[in-house]
Amino acid sequence: MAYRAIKYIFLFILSLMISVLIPISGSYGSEASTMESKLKAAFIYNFAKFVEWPASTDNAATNQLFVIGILGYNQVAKELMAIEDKTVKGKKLSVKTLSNTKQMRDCHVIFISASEQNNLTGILTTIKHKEILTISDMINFTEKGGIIGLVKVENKIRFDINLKAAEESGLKIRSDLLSLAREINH
Amino acid sequence: MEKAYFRFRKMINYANRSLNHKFIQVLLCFYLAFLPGTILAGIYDADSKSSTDLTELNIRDLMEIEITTGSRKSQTIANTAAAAFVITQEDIRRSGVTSIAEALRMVPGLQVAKIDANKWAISSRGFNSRYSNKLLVLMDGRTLYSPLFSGVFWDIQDTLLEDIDRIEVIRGPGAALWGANAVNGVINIITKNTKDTTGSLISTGAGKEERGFINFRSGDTLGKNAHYRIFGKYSDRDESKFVSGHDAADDWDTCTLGFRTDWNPTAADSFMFEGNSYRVDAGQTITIESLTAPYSNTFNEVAKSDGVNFLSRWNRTLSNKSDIKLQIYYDRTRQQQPVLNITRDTYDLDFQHRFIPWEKHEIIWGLGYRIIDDDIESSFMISVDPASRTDDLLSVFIQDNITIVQDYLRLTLGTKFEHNDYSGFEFQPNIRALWTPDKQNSIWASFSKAVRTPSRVEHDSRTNLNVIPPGVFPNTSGLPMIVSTFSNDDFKSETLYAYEIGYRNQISETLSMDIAAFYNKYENLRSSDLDYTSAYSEDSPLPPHMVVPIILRNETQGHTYGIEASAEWKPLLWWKIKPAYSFLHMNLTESIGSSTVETLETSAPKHQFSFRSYMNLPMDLELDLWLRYVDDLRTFNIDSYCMIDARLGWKPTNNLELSIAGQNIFDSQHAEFKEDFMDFATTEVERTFYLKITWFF
Repeated sequence: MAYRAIKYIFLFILSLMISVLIPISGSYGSEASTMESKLKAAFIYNFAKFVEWPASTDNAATNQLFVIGILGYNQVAKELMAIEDKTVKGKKLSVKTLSNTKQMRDCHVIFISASEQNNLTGILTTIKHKEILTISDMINFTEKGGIIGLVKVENKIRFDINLKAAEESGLKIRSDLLSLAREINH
Repeated sequence: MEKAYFRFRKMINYANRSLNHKFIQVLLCFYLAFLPGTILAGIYDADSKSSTDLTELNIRDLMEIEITTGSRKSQTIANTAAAAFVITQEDIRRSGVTSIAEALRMVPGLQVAKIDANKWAISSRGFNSRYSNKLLVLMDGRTLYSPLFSGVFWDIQDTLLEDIDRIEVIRGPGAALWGANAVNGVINIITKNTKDTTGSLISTGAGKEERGFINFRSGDTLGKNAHYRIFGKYSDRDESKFVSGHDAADDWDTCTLGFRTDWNPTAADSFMFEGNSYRVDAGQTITIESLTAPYSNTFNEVAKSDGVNFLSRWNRTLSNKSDIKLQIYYDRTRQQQPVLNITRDTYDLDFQHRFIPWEKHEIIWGLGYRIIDDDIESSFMISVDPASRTDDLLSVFIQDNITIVQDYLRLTLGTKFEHNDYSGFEFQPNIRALWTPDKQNSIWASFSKAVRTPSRVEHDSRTNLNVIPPGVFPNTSGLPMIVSTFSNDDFKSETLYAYEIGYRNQISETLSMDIAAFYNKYENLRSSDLDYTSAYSEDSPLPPHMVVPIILRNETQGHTYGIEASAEWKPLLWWKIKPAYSFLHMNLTESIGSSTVETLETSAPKHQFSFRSYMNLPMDLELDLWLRYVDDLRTFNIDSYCMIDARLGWKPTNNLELSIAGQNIFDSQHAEFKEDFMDFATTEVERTFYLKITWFF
C-alpha cells in the first residue's frame, strides 16, 4: 500500500489546518454566537424604551437621531447596525462606531465591548455626568461603574443594573425594567 | 545541587534534540509552502443568513430565549445513557494527586493499582494488568492506547494537571462511538480551552516521594479571537520500597513541554491545535533470562521513553441542525528498554457529522482512518517478527438518537464497522434507551457488542518467559528449558456482549446519586496453556535447549457482573461529600481440549470503596480527605488495604496557593499489584507527603 504517500498527505492536511490558524486578514469574528449577539442587540434596543433622558437642547444632532455609539468592535455592533432603520422614542436609530471622546458625547447609549475593559475607568470618567446610558457584556461591568451589564446565565441573557451610576448620569430607569434585572447595585 | 544542574542541562539538550526531529522540519516546509492556506482565513467573513427579527419581542420574551449552538446539545451526565463519571478540575486539585493515573482511583468501577513507583495497572470492570487491553484512553481525542501490547503506559501520559478541564470516564462498551478496544470503558482526558487559561502560573514543590517538581504555564490572547498557552513540567520521583523494606530502584523523572491554541474566527467555526513533547526515564528492577548459567539475572535499569505529538481539530456549525468535526493528529513514541526497543508513528484522521434529517432523529456518523507504523528491536526475551510493520485501520460509525417521546423517552441505535490488519472486519452494534420520567430521575439501559482486536504481540511475537536450568524441576532433560509464549496468526478478537442498566436521581439541590449495574458475557478471551509434555528441542540461539510452548489461543470465556454506585452530598454550604462503591464478580473458564477448567480470576478486587470529603474552612483554608478501601487480590497474595490521603490548602491571596498533602497516611507501605508478564519486581506504595506552592500572575 502506498503508505508513504498517505503519510505525507496526512502531514500536509495537518499543516494545512495549522496554517489556517494564523489570521492574517484580521477578519473580525464574534465572541459569542450570532444568535447571542442578535439577542444582545435586541436587549439594547429594548432598554432604550425603559430609560428616560432629560430633555436637552445641547446637541442638535441628538434631537433628531437616537444615537447608539460603539466602543471597540464586536459582533453585537454588527447586529445593531443591521437594525438601524428602526425608531426609538420617535427618533430614527443611528449606530456609530466611536473613535474619539468627542463623538462619545453625542450619544444616547454607548455599548462598550469587552475588549475595552482595560480602558474602562478612563472611558467612564470621560462620560460621567453626561446623560449617556452605558451598556456592556464584559464581566463585572456594573461593579466597575457601568449602568447596565449583560450576562449569560445558563444559556439565557440576563442583565444587572447599577442605579447609582444611572443617577449620576442623570438618567431615570423605569421600575418595570428594574424588576426584571438580575442584580441592582445602589 | 550538581544533580539538579545536570538534569536541567538534560532538559535543554532534550529540547534541542526534538527540534532537530525530522518531522518538525518536514512540517515547517509544508507550512511555509502553504501560506495560501492562511488566505482561507480571509474568506471567513461569512455571516449566517438567518433573518429572525428579535427586536419585535419584548424584554420578557427575550429573557426566555435559550442560546444553543445549533444541534450540538451539551449532554449533561444526567442525560447520558451509560455509566458515566466525571472527575472535575476541583476533584483533581483537592485530591492531592500528582498524576492522571492517581486521579482515576476515585471512579467507581475502575481498578487502579500501583505496580511500582512508575507503573500502573488500570482497567475497568476487571481484567486488570499493566497491559490491560479492554480500556480505551484518549487525551483530547488522541488515543493513548498502545497497539503493541495493548494497554496504556501511564508513566508517559502526563500533562499539566491544572489545565485539565475534566476527565470523563464511561464504564462499559463505548465501541459504537469510540471503536474497538473500548470494550470495558473509555477514559477521555479533556484539557481546558485556552481562553480559560490566560495568565501564567508556576507551581513547585517537594516531598518525600515527590523529590521535586516544577510546573509552569503561560497563556494569552492572540489577536481578536484566538488564545494560546505553553506549558512545561518537570518532576522527579523517588524510589519506593520492596516488601522487605529495602529501597527499590523504581525512581523516575519526567519532562513535558507543550502548547495549545484555539481560534474562533466566526460564530460557526472553531479551530484547535496542540502539541506535546515529553521524555521519561523510569527505573525498574528487571529479571532477564539467558541460556547459560546463571540462567537469570536480576538488575536495575532505566527505561527511557520519549515522544512528540500534534493534534488539530476543526469544528464547524453548518446550520442549526448540523455540524461537522474534522480532526487529524500525528503521534510519535519511542521506548527503549533492555527487552525491547520500539519506535511508533501514528497518523490519524477523523471526521464526524451530526445532523437532524427529520424530526425526532439526530444522526451522528463518522469516518476514521489511521496508519500505525512501527519499528521494533527484539531481544532474547521478546522477539517480534516482522520487526517493522505498517498497519492501517479504517472505521465507519453511525448513530441515530431517536426521541420517542419529547423529554421523556429516547432510544439510541448505533454501530461501528472497522477493518484492521489483524482480524479483518469487525462489527460492533449497540442499543441504548433513556427514560426521564421527570427532571430529577433518569433510568437508562443498554445492550452492546464490543470487540478487542489482537495486539501486535499476540500476533507477531515470541516471548521467552522463563529459563528452567537443567535438572531443576520440572526440567528433567539435560538441557536448559525455555518456557515461551508463541503468538498465533489466527488469534481472534475477544468479544463482549454487555447488558447494562442504571439509575440517576438528583434528589435535591444538595444531594444526587448514581447507580449502575452490568452483566458482561465474554467469548474468545485470550487463553494460554502450558503443557510440559509438548516440549521440543531447538538449536538457535545456542546453546541447544528445550522449548516448552505456550500458545496463545482464544479458549477462555465467561461472564462478569457488578454494581457501581456514587453520590454527591453537600450537607453544609462549606462541606461536600463524595462516596463511591463498586462490586465486581468474575467467573471465567478455559477450555482445554474437551474439558473446561475454572481459571482463577486474579486481577479484580471484589469490593472497592472511596470516600472523599472537601471542607472549606474559614481563613481561606481547605481541608480535604480521601479514604479508600480495596479488597484483596487472592491469587497474587495481595492483601486488602485501606488508604487515607489528606490535604490542607491555603489561599492567602488571590494569586497564591499553598498546600500540604499526605498520602497513605496511616500505613508505612502496602502492596497493590503484581505484574506477571515481563518480570518486574513489585514494590510497595509508601506513605508520603509533599508541599506545594502555586503562584498565579
